[in-house]
Amino acid sequence: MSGAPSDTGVWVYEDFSPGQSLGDHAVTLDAAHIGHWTAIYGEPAAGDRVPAGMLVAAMMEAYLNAIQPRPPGNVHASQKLVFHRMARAGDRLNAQVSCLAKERRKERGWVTFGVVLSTDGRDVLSGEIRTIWAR
Amino acid sequence: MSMLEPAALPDELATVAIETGPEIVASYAALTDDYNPIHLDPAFAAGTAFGRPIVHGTLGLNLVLEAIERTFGEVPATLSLDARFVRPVPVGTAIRAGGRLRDAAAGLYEVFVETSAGERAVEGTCTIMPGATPETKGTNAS
Repeated sequence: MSGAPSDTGVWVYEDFSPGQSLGDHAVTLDAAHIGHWTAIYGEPAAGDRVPAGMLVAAMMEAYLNAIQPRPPGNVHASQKLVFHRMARAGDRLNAQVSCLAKERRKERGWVTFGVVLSTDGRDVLSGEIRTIWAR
Repeated sequence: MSMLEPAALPDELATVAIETGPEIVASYAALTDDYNPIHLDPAFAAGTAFGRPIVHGTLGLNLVLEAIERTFGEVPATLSLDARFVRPVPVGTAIRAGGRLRDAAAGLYEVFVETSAGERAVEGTCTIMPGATPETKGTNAS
């Protein structure tokens, strides 16, 4: 998905609809990702299995790149995660990003996005990102 | 991913802590491709309700997963997590994550991220299903 669908220049609340696909996005768990991870959390555990949090980071990367440009001021309110299996360094993850739900509450637009990470056709992580969308 | 029995569930998760300085936040921005100035630009952040840069929410949430992996040695066979970001964390704040067992039969832990002052930034639960196997869970576990 590239570019905002509305003429506002950014993705706004009205652009989203439950069930809407926001595209597939690839994230490779390459040396750069592992290097950034290590700078924050320290060396991953032994072996080539990546830390679970690195999958969360990959989910966020896919989600952020799926919906651009974005308005400033979005709030990440809550997060659901279900891990299905782990991934290994070098794996190329496919992320399917979608809009799961949205609602207006107290003049705020709440949007829930789904991201499913998979590799070789097998699910790795399912996540739900609940946001207060700024516009 | 490993199988666990209820008796193997400890009362508390290991505690994991980090200092969230600007370099750490910059690394997380690079890791996730999230260069939102609210996390990185003091001048921009000064004009927001937060007043200063705040840490990415999942930077802290990942500490919970680190606590789980440190406790069990790896991610358990079935792991789900539901968390709310209840308070922003200013960049430069020391944070720690952990969890406490609430229901051994259900494999339910209360999990949290908090500042060194004890202010909760993330609250939630995680479920580690004892005895589950990777082949019997998930929606696409072929």
